Amino acid sequence: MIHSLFIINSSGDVFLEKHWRSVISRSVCDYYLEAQRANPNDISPVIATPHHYLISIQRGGVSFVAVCMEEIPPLFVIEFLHRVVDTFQDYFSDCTESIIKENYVVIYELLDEMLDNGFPLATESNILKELIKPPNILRTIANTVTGKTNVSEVLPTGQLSNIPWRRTGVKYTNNEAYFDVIEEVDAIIDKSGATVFAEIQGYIDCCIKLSGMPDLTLSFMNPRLFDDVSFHPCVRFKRWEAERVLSFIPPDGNFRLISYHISSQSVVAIPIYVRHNLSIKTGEQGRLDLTVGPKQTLGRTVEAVKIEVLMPKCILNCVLTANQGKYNFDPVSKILHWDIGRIDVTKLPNIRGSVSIASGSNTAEINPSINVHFTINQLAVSGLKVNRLDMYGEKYKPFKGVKYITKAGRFQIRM
Amino acid sequence: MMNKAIVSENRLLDSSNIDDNLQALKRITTLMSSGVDVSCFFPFVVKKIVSDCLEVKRLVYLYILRYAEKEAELILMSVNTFQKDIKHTDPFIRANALRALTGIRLKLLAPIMLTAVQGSARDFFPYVRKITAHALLKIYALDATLKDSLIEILIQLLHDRSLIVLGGSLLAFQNICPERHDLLHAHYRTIVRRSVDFDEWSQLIALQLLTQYGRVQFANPNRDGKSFDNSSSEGSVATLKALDPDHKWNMHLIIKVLIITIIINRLLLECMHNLFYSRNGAVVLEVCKLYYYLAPYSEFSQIGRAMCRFVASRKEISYSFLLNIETMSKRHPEIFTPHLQSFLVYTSDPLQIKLTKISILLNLLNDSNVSILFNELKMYSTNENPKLCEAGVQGLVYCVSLFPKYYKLCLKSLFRLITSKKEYLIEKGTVALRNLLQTSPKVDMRIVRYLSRKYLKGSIKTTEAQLSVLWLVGEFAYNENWALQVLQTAVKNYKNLDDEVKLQVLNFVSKLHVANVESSAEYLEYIFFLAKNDQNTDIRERTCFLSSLLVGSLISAAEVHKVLLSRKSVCFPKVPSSTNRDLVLGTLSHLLKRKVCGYRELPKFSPTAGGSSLREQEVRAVENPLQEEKVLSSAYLLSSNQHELDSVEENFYLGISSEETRSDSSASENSEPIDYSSADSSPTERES
Repeated sequence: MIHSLFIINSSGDVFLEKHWRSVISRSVCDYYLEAQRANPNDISPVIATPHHYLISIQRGGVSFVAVCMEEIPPLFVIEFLHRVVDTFQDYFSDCTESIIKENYVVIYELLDEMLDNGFPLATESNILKELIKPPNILRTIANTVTGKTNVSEVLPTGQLSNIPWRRTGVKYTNNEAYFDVIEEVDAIIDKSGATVFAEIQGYIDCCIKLSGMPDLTLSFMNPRLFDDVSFHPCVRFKRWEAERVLSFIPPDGNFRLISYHISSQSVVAIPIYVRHNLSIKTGEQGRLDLTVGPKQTLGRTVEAVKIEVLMPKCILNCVLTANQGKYNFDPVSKILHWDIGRIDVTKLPNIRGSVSIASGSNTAEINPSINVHFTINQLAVSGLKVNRLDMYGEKYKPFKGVKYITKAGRFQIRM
Repeated sequence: MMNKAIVSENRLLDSSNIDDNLQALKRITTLMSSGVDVSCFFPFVVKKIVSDCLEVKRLVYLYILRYAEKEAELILMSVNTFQKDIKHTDPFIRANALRALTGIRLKLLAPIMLTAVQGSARDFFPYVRKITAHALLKIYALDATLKDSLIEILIQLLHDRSLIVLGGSLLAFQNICPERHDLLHAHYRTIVRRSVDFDEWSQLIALQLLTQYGRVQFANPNRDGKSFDNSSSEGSVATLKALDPDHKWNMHLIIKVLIITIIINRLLLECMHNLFYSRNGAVVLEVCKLYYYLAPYSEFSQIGRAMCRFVASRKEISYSFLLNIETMSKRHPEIFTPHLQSFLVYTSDPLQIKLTKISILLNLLNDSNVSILFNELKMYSTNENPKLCEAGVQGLVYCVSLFPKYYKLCLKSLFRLITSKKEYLIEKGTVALRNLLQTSPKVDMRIVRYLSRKYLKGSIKTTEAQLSVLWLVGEFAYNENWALQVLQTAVKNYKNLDDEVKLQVLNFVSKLHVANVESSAEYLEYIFFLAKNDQNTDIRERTCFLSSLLVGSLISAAEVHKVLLSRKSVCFPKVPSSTNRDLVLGTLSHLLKRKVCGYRELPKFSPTAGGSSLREQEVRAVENPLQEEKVLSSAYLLSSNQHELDSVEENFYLGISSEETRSDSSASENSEPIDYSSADSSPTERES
């Protein structure tokens, strides 16, 4: 079970602690801080100290360190910590040090509600929001006038029903249901431009604002596409297995309905290519030439393109000219950033120039790599299409919307 | 300053205005959560426990739980209020009060808590009962002597219809009496069938319990390396008979046991299959574990797909999954070979993930993917990170040990490493070359010569690399002329060498001496002289041994030759493993490679799945011997059925009843398969 939680900022200050059992001194965090100092980007998720085990995650520059004292599935703690951060983000729209500091009391109450004696009690944000109201300015003013508080006076309904993820008595004047189909292309492309590995990580994020207890059914044109899926607990597995439709009573608000995985079994379209040439002679100068172009985009424009070249350590500086966008080279981390923006098919973005190399360094074995970021709107690269959304159980007619976006996930080109 | 603050907060707390109280409590909570010691407010805060405002109450509870241990006497005064709140008309207040009371870690209060829990276990509201279940394990942690009375309450809670209560009581069960499987028998079906509707964290507990339970109660589905699904009924019966030859095995009984084992196991697997869809990685890993430990091999493929989904997840989650995959892939590479590409290394991965991925890739190595993997490993071997480079190089050598046809290619890429100027590349390359040459049947002298030349030039600096070169020259090139030059250089630097290298130089000089007595005699004498007076005991010992062997030796030269220069046995490099295979997957112990306090072994499969009360209950379902054959066939029908459980059970049910109607009407009395399906199968709201 989780004994304590410490929240630590990037400079190593412990700024929040919560104990679910007896108090553990915060000096236990020293082991974590040591690891953080040694290499802030590569901290082991589990650190063993003589009497405690520290299980940690890092998100948004803040570290969450859970302290355990005995056998526990590490993944359970990790998943829980991520859930805590998700909840904070849901409550305060972000989860940074300053936001946590502003809302000490609400956070402390939330943590107490989420864990009882080190085991999860209520983690569904719909229930939590009924127990502890999220702060907003209007309510704060209203509360001071009327003398009401942020804490619910009654037991949340979700805790009693079989639909713990939805609160009752939801009412909206405008009933809306929005679905964002987001697909991320993960790929490794080798030197010659051949695809070593490509897969799609997709998810459907919903924003559902419907009154009452709507029962939704979402169907796809091509549901056979999915290799592997995971659902929000509200989805009925049976209907999925039998008919390949998503049937569910949605939680109120924002949530992730389904995440899916389309891997190498089906051919994944690669929407972008990078022609690269880095020639390094044994002298002290080398030349770099990069051209970016669209590949398989089904007629859509590729937007928000960003290129990150991880240069080898021996490169001292780059003097380049780009025909589009801005570039900068960080000589400490040896990363060349090139922010391109939209790709215009008639005039492909290009960057070229010279790089200076540390004298005496060996240039035979270097393998820099390029990370690519891009966005394509109105396209799901897998070809996934939502067929229709039906609603049962309520009489009104909701407004429905579906949006498709393709992004680069971990898209890496080896040079 | 501090005093002033205390006074002002206390004044606010004393005020009868709830707003003032709240304001003070919030300030105190803020201080408390940022780690400031605010125990000085204790007497004033405790007073506020009688407040009617729920938020005040909750903040007071939070405060009390933090400091109760320090202020035992003051707490005792507030116990009355707690007891009053536990009997409050509002269930929410009852639940909160119970949570707070049982959260106080004072052994003194344990009997009071027990009384409170006894009352609330019969509460009308499920939420309160769930809190009660959680309270049981808190009390147990305080005072283990109350175990028996706690188990009594637990039994009562396990019977609860509400899922949230059941989830809580399973948690209590796991912490209080995990060995009491007899308590679970009656609820096994409900737990299995309704696990889908539990909340994620209760699913986790249920899965852990069921894995343990399944190991004790079910027969091994993979006995004799064959799965139950595929083996013929006779084969399995024979196995069962063989297990217990003395016992007069009634044929009917055997079939019953067999069917039941299959059905139970099937029921479990069919139901748990749904949990592969969970969004929670911990749940998915737990299902994979359950399949891995309980399912027939033929069903393992599902594990691979589900687990690979999480490899691309957040880095901490990915890391946990990879470690488990690594262990699984060692014994069952076939689960993951179709997903090989999920384990290719990204430059952006943290180092630990990269290393784990490489060792998984090596586990998955086979005929069809060796060409891809070889190129990948070659890529990694030139990486800027020495650790990754080492893993890549070792991987290459490992590749060759399995697929000798890659010898030449491997040699080539290693050669490229040692021609570079980076020290770590040279080191890793040299060490790997030594490994490689040792495994090859015919040693290519050109490489040894090349390395020795590099050594003479002084470009091999690191200890490991020097060891390798000296060993190689001593082993394979002892009678070449240039070996003496190497010796010369080694002797020249002898004083500045590391102890390990010194030992190797001793070996080296002895080997040369055996081959070429005259030319090396001087060096031998010189080095032995130095080594005899070395500070290190090991070196002195070694010198003693070698000098008695070489100088004034009692044994013949041929034997000395044999001692020093016989061909060394080849040790193939192993895949470096970062986990321990024997520890239960998914546990902290598994990740840390050592047993952690509270670690529980996975029980071995019982040779005959034990005759428990559950089983008897089931046996009644197939009482009539006439039906057995038919049932058997329907049982096999079940095992091949991949659909939802309910349909499975319908089939099973139909199988029997159709038999009933056709054969003998008298059989219907005995055959009451209702027992089988009676366990609460009412569709939940989600499935309606």
